[in-house]
Amino acid sequence: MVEAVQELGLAATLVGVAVNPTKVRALHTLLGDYCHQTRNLLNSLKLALYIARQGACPLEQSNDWDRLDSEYKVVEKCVERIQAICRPMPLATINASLSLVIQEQSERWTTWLEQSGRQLTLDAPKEPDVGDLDPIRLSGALDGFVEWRADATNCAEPIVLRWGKAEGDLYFEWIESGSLDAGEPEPEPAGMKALSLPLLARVVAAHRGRFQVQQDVGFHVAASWPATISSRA
Amino acid sequence: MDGQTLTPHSRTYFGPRDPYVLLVDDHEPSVCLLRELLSGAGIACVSTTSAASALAQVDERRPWIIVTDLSMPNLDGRGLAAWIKSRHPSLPLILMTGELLDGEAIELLKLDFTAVLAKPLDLDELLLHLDRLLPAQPVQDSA
Repeated sequence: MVEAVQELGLAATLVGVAVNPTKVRALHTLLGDYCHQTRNLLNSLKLALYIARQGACPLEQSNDWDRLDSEYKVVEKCVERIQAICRPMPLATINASLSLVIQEQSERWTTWLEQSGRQLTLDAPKEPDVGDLDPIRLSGALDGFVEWRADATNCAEPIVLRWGKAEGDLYFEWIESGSLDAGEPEPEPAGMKALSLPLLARVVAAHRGRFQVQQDVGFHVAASWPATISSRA
Repeated sequence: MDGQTLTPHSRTYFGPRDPYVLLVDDHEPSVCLLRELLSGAGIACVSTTSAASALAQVDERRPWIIVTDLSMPNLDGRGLAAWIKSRHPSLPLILMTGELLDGEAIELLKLDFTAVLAKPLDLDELLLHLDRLLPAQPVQDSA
């Protein structure tokens, strides 16, 4: 069950698609040709940048090349994230502790948020939280999500990341309390990092889980999935 | 043979016995830019925008390596590879693709291709493969 948040625009709309396998397959088909053409265009753009760099004098290289390369990478990352949402997502699950997965990344996440003037509070479970999960996909998707929130959030209160195991399900919650400001505009194209939200939803759905987004007051994401799942999503 | 123009693209001038790389991609801007880049890196290239033209070129003179796109009209990269493998089983083929492929599909492609590279290309990665596959010394011209 998903409650899409309209203010999140494209990202929120794609959450509703990401958690529905039928819609994902349809999106994969629809985007297939578009993505192929886009990648061809990106390919020629990238090759042109290589040639420009070859032809630039050393003085020009450092300024113009860095700027062009940086802008190109933003576009490429945007296409990658859109494709990642509808790409086939077989899981390689292991039976492991969700705490280990989260705590392995939490120091980096805390640093990202601190750099934005935000505080992250980790609410770790007191009981064991072992279950089936794909640690690579899960940590990768959470990385992208936290990176986005570090840029996008303007929540004055400490942000809480809570996780654990309850009633046979592994879960995590991301809670930004208080009133939500739109925050500073992102330096890259709108919706690019926000695509990490539907991608996270897709990973949770691949775990046969549930994903909720709420923005009544603050910003709240809740996800859960069965602690025992098949290895093939 | 030297200086001949392969319709519709011109080739880099190189000797009749120099190893060369055949580039095949129906996206003309990409294949022209790639030819220019590899030529700039000292790699002799011939480019074409169809698998049919590529087959004609191979018949005329065997390339050292073929770098081909996957999705092309009429005969695609897989079809080209099948033809090449039947006539020149030791000729290395490198595949470029902008398609959304999962891990299983890529592993299947690696049965026919020495390397499978995603578009947009990482030029350093391509050069690494070419450097590994091209001969270390230029072939001596017997003329």
